[in-house]
Amino acid sequence: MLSQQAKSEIQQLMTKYPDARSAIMPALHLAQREVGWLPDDVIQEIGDLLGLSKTEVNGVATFYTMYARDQPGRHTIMFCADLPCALRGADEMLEHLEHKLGCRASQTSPDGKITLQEAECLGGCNHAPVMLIDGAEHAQDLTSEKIDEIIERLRNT
Amino acid sequence: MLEFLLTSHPLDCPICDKGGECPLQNLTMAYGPGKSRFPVESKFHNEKRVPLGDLIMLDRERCIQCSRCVRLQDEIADDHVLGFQARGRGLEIVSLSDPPFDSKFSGNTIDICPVGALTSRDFRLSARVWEVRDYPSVCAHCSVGCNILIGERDHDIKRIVPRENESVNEIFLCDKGRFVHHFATAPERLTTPLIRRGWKLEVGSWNEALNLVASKFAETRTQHGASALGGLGGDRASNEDLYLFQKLFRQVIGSNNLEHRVGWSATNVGADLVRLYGAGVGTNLGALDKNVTVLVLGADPEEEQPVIRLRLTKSVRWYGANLIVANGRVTKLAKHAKQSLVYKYGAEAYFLLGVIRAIVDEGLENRDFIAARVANFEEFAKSLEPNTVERCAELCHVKPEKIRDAARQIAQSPNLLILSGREAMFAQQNDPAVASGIAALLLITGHVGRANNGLIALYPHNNSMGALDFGLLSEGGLSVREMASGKVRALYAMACDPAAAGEFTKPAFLVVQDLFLTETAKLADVVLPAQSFAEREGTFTNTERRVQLFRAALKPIGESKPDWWIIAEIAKRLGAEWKYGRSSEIMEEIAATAPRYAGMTYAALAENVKMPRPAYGQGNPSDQPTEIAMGELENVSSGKAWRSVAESEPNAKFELVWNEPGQQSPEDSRQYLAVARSLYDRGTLMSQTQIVRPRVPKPWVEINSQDAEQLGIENGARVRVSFDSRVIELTARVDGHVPPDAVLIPSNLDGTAALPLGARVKVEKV
Ligand code: SF4
Ligand code: SF4
Ligand code: FES
Repeated sequence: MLSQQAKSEIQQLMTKYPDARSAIMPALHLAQREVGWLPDDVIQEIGDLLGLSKTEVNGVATFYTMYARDQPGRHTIMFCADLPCALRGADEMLEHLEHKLGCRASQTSPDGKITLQEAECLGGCNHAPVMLIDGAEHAQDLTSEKIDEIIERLRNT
Repeated sequence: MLEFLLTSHPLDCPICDKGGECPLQNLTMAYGPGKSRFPVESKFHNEKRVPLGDLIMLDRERCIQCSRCVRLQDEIADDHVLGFQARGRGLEIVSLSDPPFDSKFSGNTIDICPVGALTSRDFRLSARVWEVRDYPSVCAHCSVGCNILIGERDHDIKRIVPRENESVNEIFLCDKGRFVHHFATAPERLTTPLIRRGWKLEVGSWNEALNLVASKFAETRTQHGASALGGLGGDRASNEDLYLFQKLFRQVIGSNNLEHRVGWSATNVGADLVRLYGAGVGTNLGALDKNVTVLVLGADPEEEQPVIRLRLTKSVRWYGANLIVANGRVTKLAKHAKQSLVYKYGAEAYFLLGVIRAIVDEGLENRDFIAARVANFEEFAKSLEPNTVERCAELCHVKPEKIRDAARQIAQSPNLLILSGREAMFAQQNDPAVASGIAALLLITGHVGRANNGLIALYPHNNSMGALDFGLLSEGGLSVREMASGKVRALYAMACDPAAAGEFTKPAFLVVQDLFLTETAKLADVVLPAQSFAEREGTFTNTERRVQLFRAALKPIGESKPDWWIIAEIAKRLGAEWKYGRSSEIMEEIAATAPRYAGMTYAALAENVKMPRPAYGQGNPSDQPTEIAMGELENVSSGKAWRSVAESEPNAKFELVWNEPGQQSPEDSRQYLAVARSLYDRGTLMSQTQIVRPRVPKPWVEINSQDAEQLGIENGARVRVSFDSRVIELTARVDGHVPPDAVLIPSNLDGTAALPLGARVKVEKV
């Protein structure tokens, strides 16, 4: 459920665009910031506010990878799957990471703590392979040891 | 491209419904490489049976992600219930509505899906398309009269698909028309005549049954006079049947007790207006542009004439038609209206009067037209004096500015169509005020007698218009209610079920002619098994007055006979010299004697229109041209509309009348009862079709949220609605679509038959 404030912000958003559909993305951002992810009832609520169907809002929310339709773990790792990182062994690192977490990309580890996502270039190619932790911290020049360390740390925080 | 499309296509053509009429298959056969360069192991596998609601099955593996289905739902059906989810190779079709794929037009996605990804849960895996034979016919479920092809195999209807007709249904059907066909071959169909012996109805021969009917009719006439006989002819029957039915009564028996409006609550239904000012021939509801203003008055085409709703929406969105919707509540169509006006239920006549007055006040009337064709404009304008726009506005609860605005749009538009529906027509039961208002509005603005101008009355059934054309109306005779309450001694009920539609007293002798053992048939002395529209030929006249021919697709079920044959046999036994061998001969007689239907023989209606048959992949496809059309269906009818008086008599002068609306009922603390209809119901034909049953809603009453709060009623609660001497229990739907002080009940669900329109009702929580 969205707060009253989020709802009025979304209504405000609609006035900025000629077409309600244009407000879907900012509305989803807003909701995700508040709720942390985008459960079904929030999708429905946004649809009702914008006068669009749940199916339409869901289409946008699932198209872009940065909207979370599933409940994410406490931490999110975005793992670069673009070419320069791949050339520096990102594939093996990703496989290692998946083993370590016990889940595949776009899933959350069974303990519910860490969500793993694949991402396009994270802008750190000179230190490839690269992953981004919680949208803030770049981990660079990844090796299996480094990954193990980071995961230990994240599991305990 | 084809190679890419096929990388993850399962190529299960041998078990795919689309096989044989699949664009992907055809194109691949014509142009595709014989071998793919992609390894077969890299194919994606996906879910193959994903039910999208009750009617449609999705095969995710076959979907080529073309988005046609999504766009059809968004842009044409206007039900935004289908969408893509995710992206790239993970892209998939989903429906998150509740119930899933909640649209009355879902079946159309099956036709436009270029592969076998969307299939009909009814037709699925039941036949190969090349084994199915298509027979051109006309949908018998509502007054739109969509053109269809009945797909027959093994004497059974396998599926119904649309037959293209740009002036009626384009390439669309609603789900009712597409899926409700199992009644035709249902095991419950009557197969032999039944005759009452003692307490029981027993099987009899045709001869015996017909002799009995004729002798009873003759006996009643000698003993009690011709007016002791009455006929109720349902408006499901074809023109040929209705014509002979009235001929039997008027010419052979000599009785004028004829009616068809079983279950209708009004007597004034605008038939005269349609005759005079019906929309000009050539009107195309799907291609109205910005030069046409359409006033939809008191109608809910979404539920009653779905394909008309679809086409109007399309006209507005694609061609910019200027739509004005006026009703006592907000309907789905209103979303697309340039102006949506909600008047007070019961005051629709004052709304019209306000518009008329505003036109006259501002001098916007069409002087040339009035001078040429209107007899009494000055007097009429005078008679409006006491009704100022402000007074009308106050009475109908629409703001004066809005009335004036609508008036300007109506008067200044080069073309005006009025579509009036049940809620307007039936509003005041016998009050002619609404009808005279509609006529006056059309006349003072000169909007009659041309294409895209005039009135379309939205009638409830597939051949209501035909029944009106052939005068199955109680002019001078008894009304439905009188006949149903035992005022006649012998009653002949054809294709209608008066006992299910309200109170019914069995007369001394009752004959019922129908497909099933209906409530009325259970009481009958003689039951005659008729044929459904799929087993015989005939014509229906749709709500736009278009006469359309349908062909037989099935063999007769049991010993059933066409209605016209039965009527003719009775007439012969009563001494008439009727010699009709085929229904086309009846239409020839109609074409020669009924001026409106002049010249409309089967030959003229069919006019050798040919239709491409879809390609079934015969021969060597690589030799075929790209436009793959093989063979043609011949003698397909695209129908012909009869002309209104305004068109056919260009010099006729018309009179304006204004009937002051009957006394407004004094303010009443109880709620005003508005009566609508639900598309899916438990009607005789519907109830035989399993697949649509989940779509039939539980009987409900719509209540405004303010009222609901006052009465302590929550959405979904059980409520008791009482009026006159009746009490019904319904589920409440609380929303903002009905205005305060009114409730809306669909009259075709369980227990809601024969609701009086405009009555005052009391609503309480159970
Ligand atoms: S129309 Fe058929 S192939 Fe195209 S997106 Fe829809 S389901 Fe897929
Ligand atoms: S709109 Fe009416 S005529 Fe057309 S398919 Fe539906 S029920 Fe049949
Ligand atoms: S490619 Fe991985 S950070 Fe740029």
